[in-house]
Amino acid sequence: MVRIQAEDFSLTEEIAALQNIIGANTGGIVSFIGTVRNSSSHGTVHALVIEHYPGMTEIELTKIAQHAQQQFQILAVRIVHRIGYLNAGENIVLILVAAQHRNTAFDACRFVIDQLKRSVPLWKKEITASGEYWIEDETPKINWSGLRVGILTLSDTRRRESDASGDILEKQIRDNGAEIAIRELLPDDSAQIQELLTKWSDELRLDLILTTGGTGPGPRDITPEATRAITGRELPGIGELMRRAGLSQTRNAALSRGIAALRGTTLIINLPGSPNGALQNLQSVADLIPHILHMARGAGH
Amino acid sequence: MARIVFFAQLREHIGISHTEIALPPQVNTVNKLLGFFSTLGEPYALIVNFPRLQIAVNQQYARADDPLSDHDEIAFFPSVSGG
Repeated sequence: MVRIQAEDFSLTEEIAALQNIIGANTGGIVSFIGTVRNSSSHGTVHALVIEHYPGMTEIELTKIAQHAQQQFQILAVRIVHRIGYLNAGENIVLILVAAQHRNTAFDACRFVIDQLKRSVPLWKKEITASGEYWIEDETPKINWSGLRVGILTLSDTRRRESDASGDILEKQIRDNGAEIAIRELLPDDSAQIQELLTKWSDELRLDLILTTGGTGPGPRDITPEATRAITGRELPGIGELMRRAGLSQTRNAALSRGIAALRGTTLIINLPGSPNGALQNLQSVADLIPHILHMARGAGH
Repeated sequence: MARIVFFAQLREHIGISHTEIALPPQVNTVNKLLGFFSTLGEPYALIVNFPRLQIAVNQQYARADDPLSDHDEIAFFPSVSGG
């Protein structure tokens, strides 16, 4: 259930509504409430004005709720976001996630708020003593312009229309200024994976191939081995950076065995299968990728 | 007529929240629409180089080579900042 509204919400009422639709096998409900902070880099903040794109906002919120349902074993998710003029201290957004197990509920709740901040067409303007300022995206802009990238999703169960990780990676690659040359989905089959990675490297001569999925400890998780079989030099530090970034979200990041390695001048990076994990892993090394490719082609620092 | 909508900083820069424009038939992708804007002069020309520009066609995020037609709703906005 997702909702956009000007008026405040009641945590008690929203939890009661959620409890009406979930059963007694719920083990926990995690709630996140975002509120208007009274300070920013512009000094004292009196209020925020929140603008949205009616229609698309609901579409994007619904997508996130659906992705959360697909990616985590949760029982229900509820998102309420306010719009309009909100004074310092007021509520902005509420996320409720119910699951059988607390870790799932925590992970899914974080996924929802992180995705919401990335993709839902909502914009905040700060009203401060010194003037009004739109809140800008201050993450350093990654520049991948000129790079040709392939996305390979590995999963025995996922299909193209339910490939949330591939969708999220595609948007991020485009935002970074690169071109998506090709995107495919394969089952966890080593021979097929090796063949495709070889073709994309040697025939399509892609700069970068991102795989998502098949990096865990399960018997069908063979992406790192398939990658290693057709690549030369590995870049272990890239895997280490990605795992370190993932650990800030979930200890399960330690179970991803993804590698980064070069086949000729094509860089192949294994990302985990979860949308949030894949995106966070990628972002933790995105700025290094043009430099790696530059050096792989024989150029110096 | 295509419906063109703007949000946040872009809406303030352009000075209007929405407008309708008759698109020539050859303007049939997002990229070609940006090229078309750059021929229209101000205020449309400044859309093209707006930092961190995001584009949606019929309320779905769009990329440069996505198709569009004269019946579509095309939105331009900066990076989002909700939550």
